[in-house]
Formats: sequence, structure tokens, C-alpha cells
Amino acid sequence: MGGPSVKPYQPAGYWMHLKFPNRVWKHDTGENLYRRGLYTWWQRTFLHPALLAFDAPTREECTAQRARSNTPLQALVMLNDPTYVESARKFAERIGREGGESVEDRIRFAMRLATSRTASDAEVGVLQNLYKQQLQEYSSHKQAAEKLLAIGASPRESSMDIAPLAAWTDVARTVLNLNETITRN
Amino acid sequence: MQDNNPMRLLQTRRSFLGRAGCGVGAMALASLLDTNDLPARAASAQPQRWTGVLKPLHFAPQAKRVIYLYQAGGPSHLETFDYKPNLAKLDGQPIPESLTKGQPIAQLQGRELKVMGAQHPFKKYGDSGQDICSIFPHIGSVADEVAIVRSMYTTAINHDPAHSYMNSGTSINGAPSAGAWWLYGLGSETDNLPGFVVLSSVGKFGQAQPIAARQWSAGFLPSRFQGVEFRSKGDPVLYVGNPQGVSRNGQQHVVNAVNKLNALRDDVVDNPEIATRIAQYEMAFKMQASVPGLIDISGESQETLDLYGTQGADGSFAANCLLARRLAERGARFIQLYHRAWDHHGGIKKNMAGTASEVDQATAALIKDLKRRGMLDETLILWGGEFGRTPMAQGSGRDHHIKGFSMMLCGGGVKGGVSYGATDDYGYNALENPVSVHDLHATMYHLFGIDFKRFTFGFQGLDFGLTGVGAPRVLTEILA
Repeated sequence: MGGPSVKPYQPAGYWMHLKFPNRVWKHDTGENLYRRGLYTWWQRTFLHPALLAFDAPTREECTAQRARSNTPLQALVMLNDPTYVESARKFAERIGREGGESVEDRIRFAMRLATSRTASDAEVGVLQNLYKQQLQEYSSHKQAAEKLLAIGASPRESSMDIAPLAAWTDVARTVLNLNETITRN
Repeated sequence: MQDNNPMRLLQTRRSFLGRAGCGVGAMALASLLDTNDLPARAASAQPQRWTGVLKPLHFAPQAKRVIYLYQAGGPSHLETFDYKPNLAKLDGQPIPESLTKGQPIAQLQGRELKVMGAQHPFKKYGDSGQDICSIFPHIGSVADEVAIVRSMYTTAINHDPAHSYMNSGTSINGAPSAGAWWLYGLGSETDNLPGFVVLSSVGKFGQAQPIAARQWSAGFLPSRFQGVEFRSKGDPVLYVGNPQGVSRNGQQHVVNAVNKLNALRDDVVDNPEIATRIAQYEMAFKMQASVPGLIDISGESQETLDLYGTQGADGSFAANCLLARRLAERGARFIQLYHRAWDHHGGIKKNMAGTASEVDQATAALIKDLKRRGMLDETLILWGGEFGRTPMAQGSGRDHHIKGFSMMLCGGGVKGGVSYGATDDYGYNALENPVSVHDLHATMYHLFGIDFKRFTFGFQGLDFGLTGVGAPRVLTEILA
């Protein structure tokens, strides 16, 4: 709890047009990369783009009530911002560590963790299918798997081979992108 | 009107989906359940996009899309389009109390109210001889293409509620913005870009008041019709690239799985926001492919760049005008550009000239460029702000003014080279043929084949429409 503002990853050059004076965003290292959004550096008029996409006020004016939106820009943040991709990789590592042995058990573990409920058989089926497709792709494109797993500063800690870990990372990305996971009710 | 009770919100939206029959949810789900394979679906080129509820249209349309050049802050009509030689003669004298007594005033309350003449000379432009302030020579060069309404009036005297009124027809928050009505009613002509796009730029002369994102909200319409704001500096949309190592195909599998799981959840909880989420994930995936082409202006000729006066993506109004044309070409329905610049409470002489120089050339360039591409007839361009400014001085500037101001329209079935309406000799009250914001909206609707009386949305037991409950008038005099 507490502490100074932190700087997570931010697209290169985002501050290029903030000329008052010229500034360069240098993301933090270690634990400071992984703090809650509450601690993210709040640059007035150049708010971190992920916060901006999710309706955080820019603090140019007072905000009595926040707007609520549901836009493709939010989907792009959740799918492609390295912060979330790295989170998915760490989630995949945990799925491998704690989720049991079978693909089905691991999927049920992941869904339970993200949504606090038991997944239906139909849901498990969708994710099994996805896992199979991604595993096939990464098995024949090991370099692609390496690249995906290299996103983010945290070290890779898993006994899993890279193709399955990359496939589980995509399963984790999917679970972390569900409407149910990212909204509160 | 923003309903704070989520259950009630849910019910109203749910009833919409039920009534619409082939509603947003049904459409998004159908598109998913059709086939398991997104690539196959894309290849089959089946229209997945929202095509609007107004089918058929109420009558034949003239225009296909709106480009709204929104001059935010309240540009002075007295230094743009409303020529008042009388003001120069009376400069420094008290304004008649009969005009101002009991009238709403923003910052000049309790002050001495003295007339200030136009700070820049006017000229007659074009064969039509339209009176336009000489700080807008480029707009002057297209005078024969534009219709100028000089008798606008509005109801709210502060920026934020005035923006709401101009965008949604009411100063109460929570009603849909015009762009959302357009998208809901007419649908989009593009599958892979948002149908309602917002761009903004900031002026360097005078105060740049903020614009709240709710100015492009969908209000009580389903949330997928809200405007999507593109950035004007650098990349308009961030995070369009896949994570490294993830192929287009691989990303497609992930998005497909997200949407299928969301659809399964929607079967259980019946939440319309999930249908929106599904549509937005589909749109996001398509934007990953379409945005790079949209923003790549390397194919634009130097002559075109010079016409607009931009090299692109520099955050200027000019760069946004060029991007607006590219969005129009790709089928966006409603493109709204905010230039936050015109709140000239002080130093109006210098600041009006400065701000004019930021927008004049690009405004005219957009009109000329659309014309030579054969798109002007089907593109309605609007140019104006949320209100005008007082004929009375506020030091070296002017205060907010709602009783009379100007708006410029062009293309999309609007007659060129005409003026409509007039203010009194002081430029204070809209006197001849006064035009309300609802009249303006009704006229815009008319150009798109929409009868404002027949385009409403049931919400909380009332039939809401953009043009309110009064009897707005379509300005047939300015229609081609």
C-alpha cells in the first residue's frame, strides 16, 4: 500500500507531443511495473493510454460522474498492451504450476480463478479447442512462441515447454478478456 | 437522464433488443454462431455491420455522411460571418438596455455593457458576394459552395451544457449525441472502422476549454453507437499491432474464443453490454487490419498535403481534416472534429486572427478536395460552435452569447452561395428567420432522408428524439 506513482509500459513516443517541456517516458523496473492502476503516473492531458481508454478522467476539469463506455479501443488495450500480455503469460505459468495435469483441469482452474465460478462444459469446450489450435501453431512456429513469451520484463519461470506455454498464454489472454472478467457485475 | 439504477438500465436496453427483433445482440450472436471460423466468415464477405433501423428511409436522401467541423469555445459570429457595420459606428457606446435587460449573461454580469465593433474588416466573396470576415480568405474562396445561417440561437450559456445542447438537443446529460443517432438510424457503410469517429485539436490562441467524452456518448441508445475518439498526434489508434509472436490467425482464434465465451455468458445473464462487447471485439480485430491503411498518407500527393497545409498526424486541425476525408472515403457515417480554441474572452483581435489561421485553409481544402473527388454532394459539412459571442466588449474580448450566432453548412444537398436569416443591427438577437438547434438537426435529418417526427427511441416511457418535443422547421430555403 502507498508509495510514489509508478510507470508501467507505455507505447514508445506517446509523450513525444508533450512539449512542456520535452519529456521521455521510461518505464519502471521490478515490482513497480506491476502495481495497481491506482498508482500509475497521472500526466494531465497525456494520461496513460490504457487508463484513458477505460474512461479515467484526464483531470482537466472536475468529474462529478465518470463516463462509462464500451469501445473497440478498450478491446485493443486488453488484447495487445504488453502489460496484459505479460499478465497472461504469468497466469499461464501459474495454470501450469497449480492447475492440475489435464488440459480440461487447467481450463477449469483458469476460469474459476478469473470468474469465481465453475465453467460450463460448453465453455471448457471452446477453450480446449482454442488450446489445440494454438498449440499446433506454436509447435510449428517455435520462434513465434519465443517472441510471445519474451514480452514483459519478468523472467519466464515454468517447467512447461515453450509451445504449450505460448498456447496457454493465449488461453489466459482469452480468459482475461472476458466481459465477466473485466467488469464488476 | 443517465440512469443510475443498473437494473432499470438493463431492462430498458433489454426491451430495445426484444422490440428490435433483429437487434444488436441478435446480429452479433448470429454472426458468431453462423460458423466457427472467422477467416471463412471474412472471406464470405457477408455483411456483418449494423445497417440501421430506418429501413426504408422516410424519403430519398441527398447526403450519406456528416463531417462536423465543430469550432468549440464559441467563435465570435461578429468576426466570422455576421457583418454589422452599425457596431463599428457605435463602438464604445452603451448597448441599449432594451436588448440586454433580463437576458442571460455569462461573465459580464453587473458590468457596464458597451458595444465593440468588429475587430477585423469584412469582404464580399464569390459570385454570390457572401459577407465573410477577411481573416478567412480561404473560406471566402469557397463562398459559392456554402450556405451561411446567420440567425442561430441556443439555450445554454456555458460551454458544457451548450455542447450537450448542440450535440444532443438537450442540455441535460444522458441523451445520445447526434452521431449516435445517425449510426443507430442509418448504420455504417464500413465493416472495419467505427461509424462514428471523433478527432480533436487544440488551438494556440486563447483558452482551449475541455470537451467531455460524454459529448459523443450513445446516451440511452445501445452503447455500441457511441463515438470512438481517435488521437490526433502520432498514431490515431494505439495497440493496433498484435503482441509479438502472435499471428493474425492466432489473434483471430483468441478474439473468436473471447466472443464465443461472451455469447455463452450472455445466454445465461442476458446483459446487452455483452452484445456490445462482442461487437467491439469484432471491430477491434478489424481495426487492427484497417487502421494502418487509414493513417498511411504516403499515397497523398504533395499538392494535396499543401492544399490542407499539413504533413499529417501533427495534431493540427488540418491533419484531422485530411484524416476526416480518408475516413469519409472508407465509409464512416459521422465524423466530428473538435477544434478547441474559440473562447476569446480577451484579446479577441489577435486571437481571432490566430485561430482563423489554424482552421481557414484546411476547412476550404476539405471542401475543395471532396468536390474534386465527387464526394461533396453526398457529404454534409457543418462548421460552427456551441454559441456566439457578445456584441458588447469584455475588456479586449467578448463574452458568451446565445441569442444570435452563425453556422456554415456545405455539400450534402445544401445550396451553395446563400445566406439565411439575420440578427438585429447589433448582432444581438436572431431577428429574421431565427433558427433553433432543433431546426438545424431537423434540416440535417432531412438531407439524410429522415423525417424527425418519425425517428424516436422509447426510453423511460417516453419517445425521445434528437429534435425534442417542439415543432422544428426544416430550412428548405437552403436546400439545393
